[in-house]
Amino acid sequence: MKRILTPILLLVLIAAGTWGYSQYKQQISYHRFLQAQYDRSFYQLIDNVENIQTSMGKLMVSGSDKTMVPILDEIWRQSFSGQEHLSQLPIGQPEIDNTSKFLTQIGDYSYSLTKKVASGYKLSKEELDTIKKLNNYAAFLGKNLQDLRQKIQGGYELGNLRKKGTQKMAEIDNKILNVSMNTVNQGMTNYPTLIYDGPFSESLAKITPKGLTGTDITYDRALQIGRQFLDKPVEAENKYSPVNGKINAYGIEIYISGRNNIPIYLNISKKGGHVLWMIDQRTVSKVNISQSQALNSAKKFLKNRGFEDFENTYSMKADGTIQFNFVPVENHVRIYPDIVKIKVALDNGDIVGFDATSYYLNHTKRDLAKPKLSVEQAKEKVSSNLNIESDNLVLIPTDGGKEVLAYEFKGTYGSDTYYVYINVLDGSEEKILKVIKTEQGSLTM
Amino acid sequence: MKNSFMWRFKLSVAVIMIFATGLICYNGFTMTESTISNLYWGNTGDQVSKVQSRLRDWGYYKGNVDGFFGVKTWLAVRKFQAYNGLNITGIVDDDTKVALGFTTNAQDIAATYQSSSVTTNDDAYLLAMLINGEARGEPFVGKVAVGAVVMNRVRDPRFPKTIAGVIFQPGAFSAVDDGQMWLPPSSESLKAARDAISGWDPTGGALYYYNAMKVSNYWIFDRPIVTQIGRHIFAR
Repeated sequence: MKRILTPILLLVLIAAGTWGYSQYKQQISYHRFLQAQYDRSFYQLIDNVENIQTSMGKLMVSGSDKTMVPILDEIWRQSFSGQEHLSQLPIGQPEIDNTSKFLTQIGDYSYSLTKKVASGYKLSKEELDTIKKLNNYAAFLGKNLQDLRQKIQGGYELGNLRKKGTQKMAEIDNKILNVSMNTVNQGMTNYPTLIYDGPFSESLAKITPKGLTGTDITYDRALQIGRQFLDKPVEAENKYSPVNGKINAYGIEIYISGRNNIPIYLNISKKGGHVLWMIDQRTVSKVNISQSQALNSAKKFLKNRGFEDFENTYSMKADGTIQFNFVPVENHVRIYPDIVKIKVALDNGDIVGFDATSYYLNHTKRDLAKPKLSVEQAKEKVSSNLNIESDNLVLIPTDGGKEVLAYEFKGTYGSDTYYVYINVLDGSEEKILKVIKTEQGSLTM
Repeated sequence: MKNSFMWRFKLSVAVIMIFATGLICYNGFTMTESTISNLYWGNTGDQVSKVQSRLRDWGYYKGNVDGFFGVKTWLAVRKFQAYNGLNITGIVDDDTKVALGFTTNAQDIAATYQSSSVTTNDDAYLLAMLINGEARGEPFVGKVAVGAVVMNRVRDPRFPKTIAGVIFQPGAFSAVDDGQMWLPPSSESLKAARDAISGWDPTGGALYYYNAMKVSNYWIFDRPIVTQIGRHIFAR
């Protein structure tokens, strides 16, 4: 018996050993691969920050627009690439918050400066001063990242973080990386607030709603408003949670009679009791009505809820529903920032979605500028490649959250449709949108 | 000596020429590959198969890709046309071809202006997978909310600038870490993803969310809470 058992056990031992060793080899190779990816991101991040700093320095001594534009472009490119690499490192979000924001905004800022310089403006003293400060922060960041890299060189086992056997080691390494990254991050908190016209500017993060009128309401009143808004037989209602978002609101859910516990969700602003949005959760499986019938249903819904003089500008079909975007028209001007979205079910024409958040954030009494250019003059500014089909006077939002009065020209080039926006005051091309046809409908980009 | 050099030179030129011609032919072939002519009931062949497989990928056609334009294909084409605002003819005409993503007459890609082939489907599907992995048991609004958090991050200076960048940021979402994300998304998740991408935001601008029962990062408690939807608490 013993004679047979010994070789069998030996065989099992060898087999287990081989298996274990191959697993170990495999793990090592995965680990190295992952670490190489992280290392690459880290090195490239440092490169990006150093390049930003170099370019910033060049900007300080550059005297001509011709060299300034490519330098600003370089900063833009490097900062977005740096942000990308930073976000690929296995470091927690709180430890990279400020650094990431710094990289985004420095790129954003130089992008807005590029536009300025390209259209003939000189950089002001304040702007050069800001660049100097940003340069100093880039220098600080670059130096600290280099230190950090040296500290964790070779020893940091980022790939090991999730491995139980080396938990302790990982914790230590994790601490090194997080703590020192945190000190880097802390140093980045005080960089100057950048005032500029770009997509990630400070002003966008801190918007106060302009369109809310009236006094504060109670939660119970919100339930009442929600019921009136839906205008359907209600079976039950529920306060699900207050919402302290961009607009403070009450969250309610309403159960309609005759439907199996599929509630409709609404948010109603605390100030004034306006319905911000509504989402009906029911699914639509049949298509019974046409697009124009759905549009009529949406228009009627809007009108009954006090949204007068709205015009449909865009539609998108998906999942048995159709979404219409409406904008108000004031004195023949389409006010694009005050957009209201409505979703109609294509089975019975019911409204299954409503969103007026943008409307309540932006709607206010505006003093619209008097156009200095006529439509014909503006038309001349549009590329001759574009086959213009129609024009409109519109108010459009800019990247930085401001508003510009412009002529909107809709036209085609090849088989694609474009919208071109010409500023009514100085005739500059504010924006070009391209209509993309997708499976669900057309959208603009 | 000189002759032999010339001969070699000529030979190599000839070889290069043949190679180049082959390359051009090959390119020409691949370019015209996606071009199809009008198709209708009764047609057979390769081009019908292409239309069938495209319609099947997009969920309009349920039958086999057999290269025969029969009743099933006809119905699928009509359904596709109805859903996309085209004339409902059951014939794969120029408009339908463009909508299906085929080029109508692409002789030379570079010389004529090509109509756009941009799609948001990839992003919608990726977002739907994340929503499915993160919020499978949540109400529909809770699914849209998870999608909206991703979209809010894309727009925030502190986070990556793309949907993929946000979703695959190391440690950002547990569904990515534990592989839950790679399950096929439900139709409700897809619907929620499309809504989130087209701007619906039940969270009022939230950047974080957590399930109060399963928190692993305690710093999250420092964030100001915006709202609660289903089991998820949303924070800024």
